[in-house]
Amino acid sequence: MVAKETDRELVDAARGGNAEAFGKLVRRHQKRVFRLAVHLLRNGAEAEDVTQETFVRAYGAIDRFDGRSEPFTWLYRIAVNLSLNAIRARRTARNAGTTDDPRIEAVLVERRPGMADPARQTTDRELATALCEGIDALSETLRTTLVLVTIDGMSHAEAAEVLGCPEGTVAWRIHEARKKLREFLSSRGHSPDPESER
Amino acid sequence: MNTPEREADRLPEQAEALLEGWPAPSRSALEWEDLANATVARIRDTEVGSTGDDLLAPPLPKQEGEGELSSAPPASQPEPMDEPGLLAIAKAAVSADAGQDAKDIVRAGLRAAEYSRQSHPPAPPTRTAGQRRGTPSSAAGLQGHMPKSSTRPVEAVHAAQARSELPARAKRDGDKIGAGVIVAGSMLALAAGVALYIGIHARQTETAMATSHETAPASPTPVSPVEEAPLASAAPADKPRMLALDDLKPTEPEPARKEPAKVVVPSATSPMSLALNNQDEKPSAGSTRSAPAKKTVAADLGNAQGAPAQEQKAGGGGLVLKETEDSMTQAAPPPANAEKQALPNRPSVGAIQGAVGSVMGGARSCLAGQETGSKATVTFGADGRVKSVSVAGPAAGTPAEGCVRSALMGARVPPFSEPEYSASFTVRPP
Repeated sequence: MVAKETDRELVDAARGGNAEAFGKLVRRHQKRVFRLAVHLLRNGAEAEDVTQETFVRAYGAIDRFDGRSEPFTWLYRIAVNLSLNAIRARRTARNAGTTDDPRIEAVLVERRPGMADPARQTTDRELATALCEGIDALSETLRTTLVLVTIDGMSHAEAAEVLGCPEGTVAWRIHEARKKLREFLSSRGHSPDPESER
Repeated sequence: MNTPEREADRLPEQAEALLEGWPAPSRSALEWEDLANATVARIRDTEVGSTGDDLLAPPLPKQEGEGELSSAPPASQPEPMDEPGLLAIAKAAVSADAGQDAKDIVRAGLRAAEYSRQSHPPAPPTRTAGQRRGTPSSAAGLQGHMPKSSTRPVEAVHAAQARSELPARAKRDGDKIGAGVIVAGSMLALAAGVALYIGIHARQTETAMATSHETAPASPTPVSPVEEAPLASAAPADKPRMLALDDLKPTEPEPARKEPAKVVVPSATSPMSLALNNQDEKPSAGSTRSAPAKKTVAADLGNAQGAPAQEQKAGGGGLVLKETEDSMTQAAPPPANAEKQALPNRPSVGAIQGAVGSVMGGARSCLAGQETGSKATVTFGADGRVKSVSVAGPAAGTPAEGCVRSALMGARVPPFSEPEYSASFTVRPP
């Protein structure tokens, strides 16, 4: 077992001027922030920019981190705000579900072509594409909440802390998002029928 | 994760698996390090206090028109003792091979209860968001289930009293049945029905499950769909068992395993289940902790398909799940308080899969250029966060070790009651 500083300890050290401590925080969370940004922005390059900007801005606001929340939820709030700002500043809507969608590419790379049978790879691509299109069809609010909870794996309480809304509202948004997503997938032939899962 | 989602909200299983384990775009370890260095360089030039408050404001507060729901109830909560549940139990008892007297008692109780409902219909219950579909929300749903009989409920109760041990109650004026008789009859019918139902179910369970199974803990456990099958037994303490976690599909409960090298691959019809057997926990000289029992579970996210009891090789994925009995000091103490009892003892297989799957892409990218995989042991704390990651194998002692560790530190599972829980994975190069 390797003893590691907790996030709070690193933030406290960074608040005292230790940039390297904050660098550890960066290395610890940048992948997760990047994945969140990819799913919100649907663009790899923008996601990298937002990821870096998240930590830079977080450091700039470290004097206002009051410790009531966990550092990573505080980082996530900044990341979500930056991502939403970038989305709103776009002049043209992004095309979703295209072959160069980093979300779909990530799925296909993970399930490598050499190891999976072609039929399954096609199924994976179709499902990933349908999911991405369905998620992109959601409102900004539902989509962001769904990404935080279902894809990133946050609890409702954590997502509520990031988004600044009641936990019950997070549950309601997830319910609505899933309902819409289920309808969308069903219209695309991805039914929740158990028999079709075999 | 994850707050368990309501059953009605779940998407197709493959979609759920994809959502929960959606990987990040692949980056090499060098690229991640470059990104981190660039970020740190910018941080050095950043003045504390330079960030505006707008980025710290709630990004998506509750908006007009949005509702609120309670968190999804744990799937293992006992079903409320409402009419459909009682009816189902009573019907099972009546339809089972029960004695005639018991059946009469149950029938009498049902008729008495129905008579009571018809005389004094209950207030329509409100259906909560977590209520399962198909659950009747009113007594009207029971109308069609009552056995037809020309015998009035009163007479049926009296007849049952004459033959059995229903408490005899003094008749009141006229044909009115006191509420106590109805309640007593219903309670007796319920008791008889429950006893018969439990007996039948126990017999069915015994024939379906191996004797060496350890049942799930009594406390409610948030269960993902992949955990709906009973937990199977573990391999003996000293031998690892490889299990395929890739296709977590419904499966039959696994029989007791006598040969530790065998791997039970789930069939295609039921969720993958993983047995975590605490029976063989024992102190070990090699243990460095005095904490309660620590289980180590590893998962294989390979391409294993349904085939009975074959040893599976890891597929193209990066995870290998095997169950081992690590050094343990003592059995886990029972939950100390009610709050702990509300949490599962340990994270579910699905939660672990989702948590590690979400970060596995990054971990694998750390091993770019390597020939073989390395083993990583992730220890989750009770709060669901990763407490530590140890790396063994070719990556140990190299820069890749720290990269893998950093990547896996981002995994997150729902809180659980045991102090910690470890899972081992094989991280394979991309």
